[in-house]
Amino acid sequence: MPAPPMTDCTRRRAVTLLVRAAGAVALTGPARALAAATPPAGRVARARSSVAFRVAILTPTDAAAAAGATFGLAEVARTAAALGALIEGVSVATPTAARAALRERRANALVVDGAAAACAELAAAAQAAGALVVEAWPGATPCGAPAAVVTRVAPDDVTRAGLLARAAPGELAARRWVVVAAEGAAASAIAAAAERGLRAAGVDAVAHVTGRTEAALPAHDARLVCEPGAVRAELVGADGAAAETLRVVAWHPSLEKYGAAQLDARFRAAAGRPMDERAWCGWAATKLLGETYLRVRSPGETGAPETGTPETGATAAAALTAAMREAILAPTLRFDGQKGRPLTVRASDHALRQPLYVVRAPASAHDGPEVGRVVAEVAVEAGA
Amino acid sequence: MTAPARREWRRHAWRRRVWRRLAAAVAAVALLAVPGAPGMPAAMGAAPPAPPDDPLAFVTNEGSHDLSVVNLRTGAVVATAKLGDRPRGVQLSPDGRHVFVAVSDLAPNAQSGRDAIVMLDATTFRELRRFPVGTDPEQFAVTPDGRWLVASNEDAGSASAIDLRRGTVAATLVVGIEPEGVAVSPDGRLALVTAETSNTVSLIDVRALKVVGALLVDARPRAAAFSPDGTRAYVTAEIAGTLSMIDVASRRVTASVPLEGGTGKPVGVAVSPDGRRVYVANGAANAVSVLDARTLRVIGRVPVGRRPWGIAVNADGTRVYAVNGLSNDVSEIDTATLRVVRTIRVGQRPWGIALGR
Repeated sequence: MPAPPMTDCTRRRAVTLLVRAAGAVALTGPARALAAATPPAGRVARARSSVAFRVAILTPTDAAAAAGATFGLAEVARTAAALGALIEGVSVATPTAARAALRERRANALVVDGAAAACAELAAAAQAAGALVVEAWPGATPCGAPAAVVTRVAPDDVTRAGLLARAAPGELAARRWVVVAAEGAAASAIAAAAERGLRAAGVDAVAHVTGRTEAALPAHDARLVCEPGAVRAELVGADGAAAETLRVVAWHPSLEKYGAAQLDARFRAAAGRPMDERAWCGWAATKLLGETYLRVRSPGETGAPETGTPETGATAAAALTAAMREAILAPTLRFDGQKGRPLTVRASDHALRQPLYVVRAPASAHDGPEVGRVVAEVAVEAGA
Repeated sequence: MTAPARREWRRHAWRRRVWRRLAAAVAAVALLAVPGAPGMPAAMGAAPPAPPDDPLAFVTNEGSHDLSVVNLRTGAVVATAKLGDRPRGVQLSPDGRHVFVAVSDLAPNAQSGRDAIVMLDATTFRELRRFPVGTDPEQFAVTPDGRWLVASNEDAGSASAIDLRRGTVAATLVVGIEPEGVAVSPDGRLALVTAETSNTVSLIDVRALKVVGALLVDARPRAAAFSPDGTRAYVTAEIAGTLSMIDVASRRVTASVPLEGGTGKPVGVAVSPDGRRVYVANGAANAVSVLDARTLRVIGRVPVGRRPWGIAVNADGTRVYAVNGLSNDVSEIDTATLRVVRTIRVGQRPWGIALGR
């Protein structure tokens, strides 16, 4: 899935404040629609904290991840209001605005779509500010696992390639495979994972080709294309062109079980678009942050550490984010991503352990969020 | 055979013929009846009707779209009420005269006239009334005085309070996101509504028809049940794999324990009439957990059918019934021995259970 092009970073527009659980807020663009879709929480009469837990969302304008993160924030803000807490969102368009949100608006956490900025640079700024970072979607430069980054929601290309390679031979009933990789270290790592996966699936003859000159490819029934951001398996037709494709995704709008259909319906109503994997990653990023904040601060939650709250100052804010970081990285985390099983964060690289889905689609189909159908579930497990 | 004996045999044979013809006529009438049609019974008998004193269970079958009526003395299904929709939550009115069933169409998230709470006569299984609710109704509870029915509206993120005397929705209240389980306190004053996405339990003052608070619980709360004295409530959390105990007076979660190593996917919960035990249906573990209601210590585990979901305890606390969605049956558990003493075959994908007279 190629990332959308970077938006004009010189633009200083700061789309400010998405959802404030109580009180009037000036909203613009999609944020207005999302907030309007959020049911009022006015019937719940509870004392609220005067200072909010603030999440800054840095995503390319109009990206699905932005819509998902905004929607997720609206949901956790509504929950916070019911519990007498306050969660706010600040939507920012540029890395500079994100740094300003950390510095001046005292954002407690940053949700990053890697297409918008270099995650690692922002993570350093967040760490200095005592804030957390969740990478909703990876960029061209890996974010790695610096201290501030508590999790990476979207699976990386190496993970996708490995899981796809295990599932594709059976699903496509293809025996002769070729791994096609682009130039560069990133593509080589993806290709290596693909080759391991194919061999694990019992495919013996795997030819590895760098670059994609059709004439150079050996005879094959299917190929695993290791293109960063667009890893896919292709079943080759009689004319040598791809007839069908398989992809591994974190979400698909056709999912129904475990409340998936309900989630998609809520998102469609709020954002006017189906929930694709990028939107799900944004939603999961803000849901994880909001829920963790509520658990860490909630007096009703057994076993949760009693920590300071933002209003007690920078020290307490740092203690809060430290407690949140510990809670997110704990093996006891039971995050519900509406995938039917508790999700946890892998300690080694902070990847979200989660079920992923193999989607099969005609190669001629346009690249829309609803294209294809889910044919199998695979999972990022502990050792994967 | 002597002549008197032959005469006696012929007389009995004549009686048998009469009974057979009568039975055939009754069966023909039953088959001609259109299930669910207004004024017609929504049921076809599967076994002789239960004598008036026999206890009954009402089991909703999500897959076969009907309601199995089980004679709990004999274990026989005595009637199957065709509902024509997807039935899930089931409750009996406090006086035992009516059965309420949540029915929905087969399209989640789509509102239609088939999303409703249906009220059936508990004896004839005729559909008496249909209360409109939000999309995809699933769980609800009836107050002990029979006045109010509180239902969760999953997609709308709200709960409806239906005035059963007037047949109208008296209030629609904003609760958590993706609301699910509903329980009403024994005094009828407080209703709890769990919400799966927001991991909350909303507290509703039933008299005032207002949400008066909310609690954070473990991930994906499903069902809730009160202790008989109303001081405690118990909430299952499917993804967390836990049972939480709420102190109702202080509105705090006072304990939370993992069940089946946290992987059991607990859903249904029921409390014994004496308030000493809590029974939890663990859908993924094919087992019922038995806990001390005060300490939440697990004191027993009963293997049952596949994917137990709904659960109920009988009035004297001697039997627990677990509804097994994938094995299409109900496990009857003797609470003294904690063993399954009978397995009752019901419809396809059974979901919920309510115990009658």
